[in-house]
Amino acid sequence: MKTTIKTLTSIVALAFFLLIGWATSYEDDLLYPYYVEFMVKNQSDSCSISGIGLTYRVRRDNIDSLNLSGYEILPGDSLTLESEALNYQKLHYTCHCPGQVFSESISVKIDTFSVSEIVLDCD
Amino acid sequence: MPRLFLNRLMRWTLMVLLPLLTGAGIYRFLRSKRPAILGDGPVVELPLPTLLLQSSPSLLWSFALCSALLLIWRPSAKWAVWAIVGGAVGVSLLFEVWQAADFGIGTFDWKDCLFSVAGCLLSLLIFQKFKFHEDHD
Repeated sequence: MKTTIKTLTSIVALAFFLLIGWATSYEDDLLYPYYVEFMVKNQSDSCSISGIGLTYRVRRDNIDSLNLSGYEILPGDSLTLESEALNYQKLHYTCHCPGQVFSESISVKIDTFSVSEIVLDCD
Repeated sequence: MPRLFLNRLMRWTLMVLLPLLTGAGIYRFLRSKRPAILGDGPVVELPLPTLLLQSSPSLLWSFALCSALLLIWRPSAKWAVWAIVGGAVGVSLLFEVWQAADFGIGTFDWKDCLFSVAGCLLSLLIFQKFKFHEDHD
């Protein structure tokens, strides 16, 4: 009888600990405020920019990416984007210059409270 | 009888409840990245090593789990003690393996594995040192 009670108590305790372990495994990746606005400015005279993507750090060490490839920024133009406030690390983009196309990336730190301006120059 | 009850209550408080609350407190007040369940709020910046902030909740969770099982069973036989400690270590590591295999939420971290094992061993050490198994019904 005593063993039965101990076994049942152990099962309840184990379930309780598993529940706590599961609940605390889920770390929120979103920063506050949950959305950020940032402006990407193309300072180049002759190159347009497309294929914009952002990589961000997930939890401790993992890297994931956010693809914004639907946009194209003409020379001298800028584009304002709104996105989830994640731990952005790098901005990737493709330069379309006369006679050549190449990929570039820069390190970014997007401000969560004011509009960050990211200036790109393919020249 | 009341003394025995108070003794047990104190053990459960110190070895199970307090470590769990401390772990939750570290997540809630000392870490900017925290479980979603603990919500948003200001973070207290303490000059503590990142390793301690990141992995000590794992140690405290494993410590509390192992302590709870040892306090329930109060084993005196060596094999039974190690079976319980092994079980607690197994459950703790299962979480990390689960995360490493990408089956569940959370991030695998080998340091968490070491801290989890350390938590269980620390619990065993205290259990043996204070002879909690001699507390009979």
